[in-house]
Amino acid sequence: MSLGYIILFVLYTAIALFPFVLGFLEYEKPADPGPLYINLDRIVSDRKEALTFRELIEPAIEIGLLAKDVEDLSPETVLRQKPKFHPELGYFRLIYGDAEIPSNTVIEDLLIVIGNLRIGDRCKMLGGVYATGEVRVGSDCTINFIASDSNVFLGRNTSVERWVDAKGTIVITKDCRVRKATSEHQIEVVECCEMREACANMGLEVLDSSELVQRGSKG
Amino acid sequence: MLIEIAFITLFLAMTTYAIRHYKFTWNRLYGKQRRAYQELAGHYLPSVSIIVPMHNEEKVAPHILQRLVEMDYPKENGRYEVIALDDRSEDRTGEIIDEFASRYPFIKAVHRVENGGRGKPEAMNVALKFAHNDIIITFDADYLPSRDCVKRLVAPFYDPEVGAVMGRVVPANSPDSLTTRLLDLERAAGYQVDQQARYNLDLIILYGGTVGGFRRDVLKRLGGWDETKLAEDTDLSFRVFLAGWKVVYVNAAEAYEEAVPTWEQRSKQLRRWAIGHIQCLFDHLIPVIKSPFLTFWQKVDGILLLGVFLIPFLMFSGWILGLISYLFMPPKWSNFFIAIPATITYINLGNFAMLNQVAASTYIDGRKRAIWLLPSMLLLVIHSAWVCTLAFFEAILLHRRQKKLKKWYKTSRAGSGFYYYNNLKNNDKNNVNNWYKTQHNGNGLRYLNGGKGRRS
Repeated sequence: MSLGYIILFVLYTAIALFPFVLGFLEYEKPADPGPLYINLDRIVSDRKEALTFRELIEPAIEIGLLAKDVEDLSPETVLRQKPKFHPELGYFRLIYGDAEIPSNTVIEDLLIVIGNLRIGDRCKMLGGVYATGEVRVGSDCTINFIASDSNVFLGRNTSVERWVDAKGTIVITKDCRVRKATSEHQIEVVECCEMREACANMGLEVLDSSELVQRGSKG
Repeated sequence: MLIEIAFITLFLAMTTYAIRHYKFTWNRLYGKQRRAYQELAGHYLPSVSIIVPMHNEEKVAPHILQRLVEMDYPKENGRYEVIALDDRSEDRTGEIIDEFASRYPFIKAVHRVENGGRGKPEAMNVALKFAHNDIIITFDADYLPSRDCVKRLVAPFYDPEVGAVMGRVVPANSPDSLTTRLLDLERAAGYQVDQQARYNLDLIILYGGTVGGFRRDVLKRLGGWDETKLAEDTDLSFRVFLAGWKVVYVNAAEAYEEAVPTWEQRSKQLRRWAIGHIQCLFDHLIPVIKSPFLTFWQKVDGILLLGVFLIPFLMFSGWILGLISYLFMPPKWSNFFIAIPATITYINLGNFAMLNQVAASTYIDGRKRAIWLLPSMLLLVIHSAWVCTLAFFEAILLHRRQKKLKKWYKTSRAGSGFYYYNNLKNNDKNNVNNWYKTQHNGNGLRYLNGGKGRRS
């Protein structure tokens, strides 16, 4: 047998065995040694919709942090451009920095803001809203859902079709309709608003309109 | 000529299954995912009976019962009951059940002592007589469900059209041996990709006999588990679909199981599944084709699913035919030109399509290097081809003789799943979580921008 055949044989054997060598290495010195992690102590939380959403949104926030230097993520540009797509989140728009949505705006996609968000009057946010900062919603708005890492303020006669979740305080003013409100801090509601479910670590406080106006004037 | 026809048939069958595997992988990676009514979890809380059949399970019985005691579900007013059935165990299983029943009023100890058939389906039917609640959930004795598992499993029953649900199974003892590590990957592909994609695409969801449940009315109407079947779970899934009910897969309802640690045990388990599945093929093929409740694609998927244990046999036949034609058929240039593209297609589609699902599942679960074991999955493929080929002939013989296999085809448990779980817990507490924890690789930008995503 010539040397050429021997070299070829060794080469073919090495190529054929290479994938199994990797498998052997992983078996002998595993980098994933244990079973797949399941949190067996996990329970269904009252904030489960919001918590699930927050898990899903994590990659989008990564986008914001990575893309801010190479892409124009100002409100004007983002609202004009086509939305991005993610299989779990659907179509979404991502703004980096504080944003102000003009009155009478209709946005059909999920709006993600890395910063504070102020929404004008009579806006429709049909895909929902998430902000890392404070969310202030004007009056007569319709919003699918709101998640904020800070406080949320809902203006008069605003309707939230699914849920509002905040790490800070949620203030719900007169004539608002909210299906569910959950907060890590506190929920403050004014009389005449409609809410089916509420859950807050520091409890629920019912205020009258004058008290709220007084607080608002104090800033 | 016969060999050519056989080759073409094999090629078409393998390609059909391969396309199906690719479709599922693609859907799971890039398609819109369904969440299985999980927004209702914790809000819709019907009365539930949990059935745990046991036969010589002293090593694992305390763990599953303790998990069910700790289950996050309202237990007052009989809304939650556990039917722990001891089917003539010869070890301490009965004592363990009695001890738990004396401590917790919602645990009912049922001891089966009468003569009669042995086997899980018969034990389940006996337990069903003692279950009074609206929803019946089943767990095998070696399972460790998460605390939210029952809440998540019952949520889909809010829809009156849903007749059955199925949750996700994850092997807890994967470090035990090479077999368990490979089975871990196989299970991940089966649930994380295959079942979820089938649910996304509104196809046939299989109830796996555990971590799943039914409406009690549906079970009663269908006559419970069929005691003549070796794969009574597959049989029941098809009967539920054929009766016009929906079946839902809940990926978030997770439980650990103990996978079989040796090839010998794997052979026994696989043989039972294969014979049972082929029994179901004989019984349900025509009803699936004729069903007025199933959509066209559900029928296609149902037929492919019923025939899934024929694939290893077909593959094995392909190898034998290939060998025969190589050794005994005179080479022709025309055959050569057909053979090359056919072989390439067969290898690319047939063999690797299933491995794609495994790869996709390790990626979705965020495992770092488990994928290196992927080539070793060929061991499972070869082993399945042999065992399923034998099972195929055995199933045909049984069918011709109308013979019934009647005993507990029991998988022995080492109880090591709980050991690994405890390690996992301690590990988690000490916050040294690199060992087991699903890792986020932080490359969301790439996936999101490209319309691709990683799910959990």
